[in-house]
Amino acid sequence: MILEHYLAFWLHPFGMYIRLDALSTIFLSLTVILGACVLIYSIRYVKEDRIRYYPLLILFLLSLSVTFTSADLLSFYIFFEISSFIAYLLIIHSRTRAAFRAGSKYIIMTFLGAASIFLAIILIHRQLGSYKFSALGELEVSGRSGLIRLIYVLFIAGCFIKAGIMPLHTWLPDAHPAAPSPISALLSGVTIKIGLYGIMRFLFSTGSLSRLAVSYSLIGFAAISMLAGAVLALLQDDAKRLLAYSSISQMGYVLLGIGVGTNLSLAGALYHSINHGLFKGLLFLCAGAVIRSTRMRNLSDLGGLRKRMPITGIVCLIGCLAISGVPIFSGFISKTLLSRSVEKFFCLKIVFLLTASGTFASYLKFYLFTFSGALPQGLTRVKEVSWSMLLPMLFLAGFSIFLGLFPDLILSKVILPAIAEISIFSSAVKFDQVNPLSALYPLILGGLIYYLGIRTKLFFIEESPLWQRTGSQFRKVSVDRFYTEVVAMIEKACLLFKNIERFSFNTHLLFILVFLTGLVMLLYFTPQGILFP
Amino acid sequence: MSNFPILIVALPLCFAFFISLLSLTKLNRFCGHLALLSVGVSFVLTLCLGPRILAGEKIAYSLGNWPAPLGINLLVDGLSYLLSLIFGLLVLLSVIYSLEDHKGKYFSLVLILYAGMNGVVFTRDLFNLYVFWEILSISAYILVVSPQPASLRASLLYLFLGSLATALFLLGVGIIYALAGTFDMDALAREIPVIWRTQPLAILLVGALFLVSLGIKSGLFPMYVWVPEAHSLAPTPISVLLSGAVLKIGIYIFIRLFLTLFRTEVSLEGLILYWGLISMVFGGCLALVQEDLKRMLAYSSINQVGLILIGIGLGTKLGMEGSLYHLFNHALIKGSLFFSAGMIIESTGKRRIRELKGNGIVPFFPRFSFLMGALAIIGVPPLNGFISKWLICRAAVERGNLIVAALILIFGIVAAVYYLKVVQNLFSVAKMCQTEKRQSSSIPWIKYTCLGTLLGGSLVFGLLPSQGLYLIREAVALIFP
Amino acid sequence: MSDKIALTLFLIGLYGLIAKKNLIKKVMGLNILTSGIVLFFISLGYEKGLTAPIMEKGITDVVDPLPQALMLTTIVIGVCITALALSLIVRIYRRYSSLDVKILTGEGDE
Repeated sequence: MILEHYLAFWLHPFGMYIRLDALSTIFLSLTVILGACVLIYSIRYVKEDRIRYYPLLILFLLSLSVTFTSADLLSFYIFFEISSFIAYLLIIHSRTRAAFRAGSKYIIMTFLGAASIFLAIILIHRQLGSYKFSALGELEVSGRSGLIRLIYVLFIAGCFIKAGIMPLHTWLPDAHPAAPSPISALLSGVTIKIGLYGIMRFLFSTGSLSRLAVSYSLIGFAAISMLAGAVLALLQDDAKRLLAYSSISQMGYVLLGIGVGTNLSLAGALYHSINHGLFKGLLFLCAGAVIRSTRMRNLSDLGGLRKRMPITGIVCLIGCLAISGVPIFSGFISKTLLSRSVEKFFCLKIVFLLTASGTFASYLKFYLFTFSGALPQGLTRVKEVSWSMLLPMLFLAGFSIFLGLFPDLILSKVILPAIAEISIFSSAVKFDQVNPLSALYPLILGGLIYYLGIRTKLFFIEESPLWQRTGSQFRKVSVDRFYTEVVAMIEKACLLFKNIERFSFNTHLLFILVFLTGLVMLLYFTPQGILFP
Repeated sequence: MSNFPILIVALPLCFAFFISLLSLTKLNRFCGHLALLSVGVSFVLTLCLGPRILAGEKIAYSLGNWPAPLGINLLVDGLSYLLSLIFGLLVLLSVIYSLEDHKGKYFSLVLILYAGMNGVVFTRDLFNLYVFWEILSISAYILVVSPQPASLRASLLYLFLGSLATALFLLGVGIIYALAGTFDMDALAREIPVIWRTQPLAILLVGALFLVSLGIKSGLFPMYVWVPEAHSLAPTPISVLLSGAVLKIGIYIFIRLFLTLFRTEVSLEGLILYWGLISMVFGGCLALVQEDLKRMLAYSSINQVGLILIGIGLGTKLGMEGSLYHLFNHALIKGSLFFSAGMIIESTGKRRIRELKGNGIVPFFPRFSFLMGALAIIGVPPLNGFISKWLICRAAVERGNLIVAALILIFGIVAAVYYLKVVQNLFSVAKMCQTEKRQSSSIPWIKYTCLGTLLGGSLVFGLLPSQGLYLIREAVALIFP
Repeated sequence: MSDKIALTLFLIGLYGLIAKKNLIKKVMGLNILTSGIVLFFISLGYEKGLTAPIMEKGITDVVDPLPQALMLTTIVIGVCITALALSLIVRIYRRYSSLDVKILTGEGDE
């Protein structure tokens, strides 16, 4: 069933449509579930500036919901932008220096992405005369292929920025740690899905997945994100940074599913979006609970909290197992679906294996460093967090297990209707003939990686001799640094340009005279006027 | 109702005279209220014209009952009405804002400024336009002077450039008179295509002179010098008027003269487009590296005026719609930005962006409205700046000019960078000490009403673009019938 | 002839405004520039052999009175601007003890 409604009071002459179909429903329910958890969790977590925090949070959830239910590109863009900006205000909620820096980076990159999407939308409107998703089907045949290709690139690049896909991800690992933990949970659980949702809607409405170039480039970026995200997650010391990098890697999974484009892979992608929303939300809430009670966020400072915070420890373990793809937890289902859909491609299988093991290793690190081992001196008086914080976490953990136990129910009731709406193929997807042992390879490899990492001290950036030798070299090639350099260069150029302010008044008057004579000459030599480009 | 145009212009002039007399007596403190009364009456009269103008009517008034080519005619059409509405609103709010701080002759100058602005947009006589323009300019030169000593030099700088501009304009008017023998715009609109066939070069010279003088007055790229100086050093309400209204006069005259009068084969579109583009880029880049809050706002005005010109230069109906809408929106947004910047500077005594950091003494409302204004000018929906930017971008794309659209969007992001820098400093954690808190002066509520009106306006015109488009429909119909 | 003089005056005024470093000389330049324009307007209406436009019987060849009338306005405006500029300069001189053009662009501020 598809519900569609025209909102007349808003943007009147241009129109705005709200539409609820199965695909929207998936993301909308994810927003609502996670939003409710975060609202409850925040009661005890956020202590300062609540008068600012709660209205913003509610606006944020509202705008996210409308983004997922908009039936036309324009309202999609509008709420995309609104939610991005509210997210900025929430990221800078602590108003510290670091938060501002992260927020600036986030907002600039998101606005860039939004601008790129906006340009694509305007171009689409010029081609089709309509903003509605349902009209997008004619885009392919509506004009020169160069223009159409440009539209694709602009739209998908904008969505990539929002989704944190690899070369455009640099806002993500800064913004997540800087934001309050419940907000990080929402950012990672829902907000970055907007990008992927946009790609899905756009590509399936235009039917352009049949283009091999689109498909291959999506797969390429997805593979880079998966691998690099997993590797970088392994090397982080800050708990929330680790989770953020892992989000990049998980978004890679979803993008891969979209890029492959078969029903099986789409089912995997959607399933993984739901799962990731739930268990990443859970993990961020756990990290928040740990940070709240210990006031520490570096993994190397933590340890032995299992006794002090038993419930948090258990739900965190569930989250870690779920994201690592251990059977009976939700991540196993979606990862299996995805890996079955790429069975034919050997390279992708390798990528899958490596990413899954990297993920497992990083979550081993996350869990073991926090909850097992010896309790550091300063943490002997740590207490379990209050029930209002535990309850949402327990709920999310339960949900993760539920999604892992009843895959066929979810597939048939939730995912397949959505795929039936967007996909051109119509073959049923069932979750059967799965060998739970197939999950063993990445787990074994992951354990090995973890062991090696500990032994070689690769995980401790400060202590590892290898890092001290090569770290500076690595930082030179980082994408983040490249962007920062570009921004610094622009600012330097503007500063150079600022010298024009120091010119004397006479020079400025001379400029005017020169301009006047130039104008007269110009008009004289081109009496037909300066032709429009 | 047909004598409303002259009333709207003459009432403030008469009151200006009385107020300057009143300021000599003991009733000095009532000058502001009297000014408020007269501006209010004028504004209400303007509003009363609304229904008829927006229904497509034009309201004409002949001074002394002399018919068109002989006497001076005042005519209110869609375009004049739109501008007059902006002026009325901004002047009213500025007078309200300055009720507490200023007295006496200041108000009579504001009234003269108001009368001059309305005169410029109503008159159909080229020389009369020049005279009104000078009237408003002279009062603007004087109004720039604030208690800050540096404002003296800003005022003189503005005076030099402004007088040069009006002198060039007058020269152009003279050449036109020599060619056509009339100052009446309707007659000129008929004459100039005829003259164009015999003496195109003279017309081109006039065009160049007009363009340069308008460029100076609206602060376009090579002749922008006065904008940052005057905007940043003037008293707050005057900055609002300069940025929201006085800069717009140049654009109004441009539209009036070049799009209704000089309808020749020369296409100025490309020139205007590139000029606007350069101004936008220049204003954006320099605003990025400003240290003074109000200076940054001034450069941002250059940026926005460039954007308005781009819309005009695209030469399509959609572009014109976007431009006029943005003209209206920019007046609202820049008004609220300058008002809140003024309040921030007033309450902290600091105007450097860096020094605003960690000031817990700025009241919440100015900070909030600065944030909203910044959002509107960056073009974040659902505020009004988004709608006009969207229209202009669409016009650019439909004209096939992707790069222009991309540049507009990129400079939206540049604007985000420099505005959010201020917002971050305003909202950074307060390090309040008791001594500082005592120093901060409380801001009277009446000033908040100014801010509230403008903010409400930008929200309404962002949420209901149909209302805004309704306002500018007649003006656009004038140019693209 | 008179329009050539007008042009010369205009250019002299422009030169004075642009090139001179002294603020008062700049004001003088502005004045000369304005008077050039005034002369130009007057020359538009003037023609040799025509009389003043006083409507008496028998006089038909009259000059165009409009430019002259308008120039009175321009002259008044010019005086106004000069007065304003000079008074500003007086206060600037008191503040900065200099009349150099560099003051205008902010040199000498604290």
